[in-house]
Amino acid sequence: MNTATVLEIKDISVSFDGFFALSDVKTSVRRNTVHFFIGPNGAGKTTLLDIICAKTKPTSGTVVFYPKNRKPMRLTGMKEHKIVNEGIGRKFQVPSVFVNLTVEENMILSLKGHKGIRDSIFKKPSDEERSHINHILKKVGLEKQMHTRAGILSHGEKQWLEIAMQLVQKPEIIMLDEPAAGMGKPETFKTGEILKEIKKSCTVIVIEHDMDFVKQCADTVTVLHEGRIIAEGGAGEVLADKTVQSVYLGRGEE
Amino acid sequence: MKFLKKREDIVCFACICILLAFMPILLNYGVLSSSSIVLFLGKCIAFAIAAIGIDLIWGYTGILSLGHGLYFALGGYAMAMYLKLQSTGGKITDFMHTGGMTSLPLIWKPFLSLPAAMLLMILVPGGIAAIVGYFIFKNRVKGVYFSIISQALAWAAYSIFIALSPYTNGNVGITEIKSVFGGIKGPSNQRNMFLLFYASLLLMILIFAFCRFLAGRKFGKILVAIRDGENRAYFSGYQVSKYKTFVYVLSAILAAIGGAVFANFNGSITPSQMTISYSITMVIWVAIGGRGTIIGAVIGAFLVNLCEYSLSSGGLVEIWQYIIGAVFCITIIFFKGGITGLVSKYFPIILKKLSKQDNINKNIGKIERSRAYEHSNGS
Repeated sequence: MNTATVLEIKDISVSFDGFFALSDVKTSVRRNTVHFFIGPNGAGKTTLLDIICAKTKPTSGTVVFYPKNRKPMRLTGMKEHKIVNEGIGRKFQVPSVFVNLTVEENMILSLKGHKGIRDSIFKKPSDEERSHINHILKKVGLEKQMHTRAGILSHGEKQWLEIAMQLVQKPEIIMLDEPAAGMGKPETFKTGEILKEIKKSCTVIVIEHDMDFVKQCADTVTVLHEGRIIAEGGAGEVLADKTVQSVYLGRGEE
Repeated sequence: MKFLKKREDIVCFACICILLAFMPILLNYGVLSSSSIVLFLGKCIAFAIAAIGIDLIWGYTGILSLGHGLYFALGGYAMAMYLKLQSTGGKITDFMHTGGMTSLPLIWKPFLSLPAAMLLMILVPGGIAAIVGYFIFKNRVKGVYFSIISQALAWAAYSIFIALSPYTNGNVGITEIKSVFGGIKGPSNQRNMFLLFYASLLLMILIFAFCRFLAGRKFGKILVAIRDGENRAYFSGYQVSKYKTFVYVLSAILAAIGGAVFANFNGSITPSQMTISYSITMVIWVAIGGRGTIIGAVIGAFLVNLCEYSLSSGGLVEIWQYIIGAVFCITIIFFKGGITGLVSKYFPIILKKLSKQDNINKNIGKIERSRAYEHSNGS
């Protein structure tokens, strides 16, 4: 196996009551890249993320994770909280931060380790962990809102907080479902810059619709259509592909 | 001032406790005419303990249990069984005679000793809650479905307790019992009653402190996190079902302790404490007091019961249920935070206005003083 591969998706199929949301999806994600999954609505992008983090069980096929310096493991069949602790984070489509806690508390809850009941009662975050939180919050530009209740942050800030919550776990892979949805141009651009920054320390898997955003920061793009992969490669090459344009961009956008 | 600001609830709780602590003294000096109010406040302490448990599971974790009367009654029964055997001297009771039994049934035997009774008082409700909680939360049953299951459980237990009348005395319950400190009724037993009252008060303080501690730690934040975003909590790496089961067991144990204290003050325990309507009443205390703050549960339990006590002794007995129902609806619709929510929202505003007024007064004072100074200089 190529050491650059961090995640391998092998022949994944999912059917919901006979309808195939994904059929024989086969791809691999390289380490320290930003890997985009794009495709029209209903193409099965979110389902694919659900399978990687075990929210949905595939009908057939496996997902294998190749962690750094550890043995590869099969993710299909594992419990979701375990997958998180192995180093795969997930951000949902709708920003889901803990609205009644402060930004700092949100981050503390996301720290790696100490997830048991006993630790949650008796352990306090160490200085090292606190400075790590500060460091990450600076990266996404939320260090001034440390003590703000997360519920009153703007939509964009919530998205960044959620990305920060993934980062603080020091994950190997972070999966973002439409991180720029509902954002204006400048905010989207900033999100792209954040992604470029964080790919230095981990692998980023993104679902997105905004083509400018894809061009800005994608290393690899996989196009899904009706549950199948129809194209894969660099951003420029994939977006120029005729089939891709007809199924996805065929609205005279390019 | 800043120190107090983060600990308003503790100040408030301390005030309640000091007020309560003065009650027996007032009675002693004849300010209060009858001992029934002290007995009643003792019951309120029991209710407050149970309410704290419900607040942990509902207010913090967002799981609405409508069957905590079950655990309240289980604790009460465990206490009452011990106390009953104390008063019969370990012999079998009248209702067992009527039920055709000649010797003490096996399940009553452990209740001959106080430590065993106390252990069972915690282990039985805790164990039941652990088993029920484990399966329910593991299978991710939540929301209304959980509430219905909790009701069904309480109802099933109620039926069983009625059916097993040779063991439980059916719907009459276990009556004519004294407290752990001996008889508490009548002027000659006032010392016992005071002892019981202060012991219960201390118990409530300990439980409040413990739960306040839990809520303030990361543990409490995780509960809130589970309430606000269960999925996110799973994907932050927490085993949510484990936390839910833990809180459910904890709240069941608190309800049981409340029930045991109640049995002491009430002098009896009946299956009516196990009913669904009784369970819902407990939820109403928490809702009115303010969920999600431990102090809210305490305030709610005291306030609602004190209102009931003073209102329903008059001609309002009949309509009390309607009043409490209406207040509950209004609270849920308009003031989700209950009393504590209202206070924490409007108190700072009032304070600000007052301090502004204060500043204005000060400024006026300054101006007047300087004028007076000028005046005196000028003359």
